[in-house]
Amino acid sequence: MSLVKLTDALTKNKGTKFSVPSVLTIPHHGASVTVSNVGSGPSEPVTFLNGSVDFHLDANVLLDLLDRDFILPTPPVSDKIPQRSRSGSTSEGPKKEGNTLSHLEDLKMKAAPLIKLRGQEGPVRRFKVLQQFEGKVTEVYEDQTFRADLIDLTDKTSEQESAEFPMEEIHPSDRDLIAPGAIFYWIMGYETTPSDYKRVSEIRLRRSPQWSEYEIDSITSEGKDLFSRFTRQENDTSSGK
Amino acid sequence: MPCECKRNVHQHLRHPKKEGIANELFILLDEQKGANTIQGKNRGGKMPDHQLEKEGFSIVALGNFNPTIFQPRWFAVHNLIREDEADAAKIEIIHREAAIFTTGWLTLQVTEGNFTAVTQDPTKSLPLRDLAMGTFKLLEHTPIVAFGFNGFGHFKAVSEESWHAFGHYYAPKDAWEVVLKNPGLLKLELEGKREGYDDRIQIRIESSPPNLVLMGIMIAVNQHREITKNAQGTETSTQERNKAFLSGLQNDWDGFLQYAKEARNHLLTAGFSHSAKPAKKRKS
Repeated sequence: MSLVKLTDALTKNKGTKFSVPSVLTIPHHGASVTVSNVGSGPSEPVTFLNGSVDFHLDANVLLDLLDRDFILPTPPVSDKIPQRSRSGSTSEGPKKEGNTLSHLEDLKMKAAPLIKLRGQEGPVRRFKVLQQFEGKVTEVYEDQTFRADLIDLTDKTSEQESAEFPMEEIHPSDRDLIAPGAIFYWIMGYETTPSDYKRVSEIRLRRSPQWSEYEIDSITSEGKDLFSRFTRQENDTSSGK
Repeated sequence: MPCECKRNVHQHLRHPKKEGIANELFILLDEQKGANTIQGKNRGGKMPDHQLEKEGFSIVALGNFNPTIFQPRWFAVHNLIREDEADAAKIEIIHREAAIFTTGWLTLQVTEGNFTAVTQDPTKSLPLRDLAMGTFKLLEHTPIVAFGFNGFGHFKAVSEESWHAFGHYYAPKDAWEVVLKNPGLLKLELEGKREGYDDRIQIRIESSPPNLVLMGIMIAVNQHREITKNAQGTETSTQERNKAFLSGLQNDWDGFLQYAKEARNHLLTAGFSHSAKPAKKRKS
């Protein structure tokens, strides 16, 4: 029976006992329909797939259902792979406490009462990398340009190149970091956004923590120590001659 | 100049004497339908059987952490993220038991036993490594017991048939059909070692969530290293573990990314090369 006929049937037979396969056409590719507040029964949602499930439906509930879009989302999995229940999987897979897999799902579940992540694992960017260089700034000029040595990370057999970049190519927040010795990543590729598909060239400066005074002192004293040891050795060998 | 014969577009494409027009049509269709499909045909190329939809990486450390430290402002003060990224960070929670925030390309989740930095921006694999290195250069006394590298990608199959056939190749259903009606592969995980490394490798094949990628396959590769003992089998100090982690990030991250890419390419090629055979029909 089509959904239109179902609507007719429901308006005429409120609270009738329906046999699901006879009234709802479940999309072949396995769209699942989840019904909440079914009749006067338990309040858990009832999910039915291509099987035949008999239940008592309140007509108003089904009429609400009819307004929903049965085309989207229509994952082509649910008649083969049942959708996971909302309370999490009931499978008893081995839980390895000491693994370093990205288990954000676990984190979400453990902290369920407190934490509700909006996204999956942060924002997703669709980018096809064509070429990637690692650059090292060698000189900074007064005319707002700088020179850098470039290593091709896409093809490591390529020879080192040198190029000049205008400072405008650098993100304003990164410009302070441009100094001889600074490392940056230069990536070219195609980016897909909902409205666009474009070629992108992007430079990002490498960020490392600033040296603490303690670290500077410690390195300086280590350097002095090495210097004195080497010079003493040199003196010893020259006096030995 | 337009052809005067009365053939339709498809007949034109097979018209032996109208190669020039066929090429024009290809170009026209190219513009209308997208470059890959038509160019592939014209050059005798093969349609790709899958397409990379989403890609990401993460670095995980296990140990004993103080989550309240891991705030966007802390990272900005120590020059590990940009000031504007810290300002724009979306903080989910900062608590003594968990810290979670997202800023632009990075999501950071830290609990008392786990540090996870994730990016789903394929251009940020090296900045992610730099961020983890910078963090643990600063927190040099943090006890770490193990660390892991992760790379994952979601691939969209070109048809439902090839998607099923891929799952069938890695998990043939003959044995399952006795106990399950319409069995389908949800998740498959294998563990082993990588050539030249003692680290544990886990590779997972999963059906992508349909709301993320329809007819998608997720392949995730994890390389896990325990650092509580050194090569001689003796217990390592906190500083030695920290050094081992930093050295792993510095020397092995690039190699891991390359390995993960090669591994998933191999699995995709093997899985889809059998997609030509139709998936076994299921009894309804």
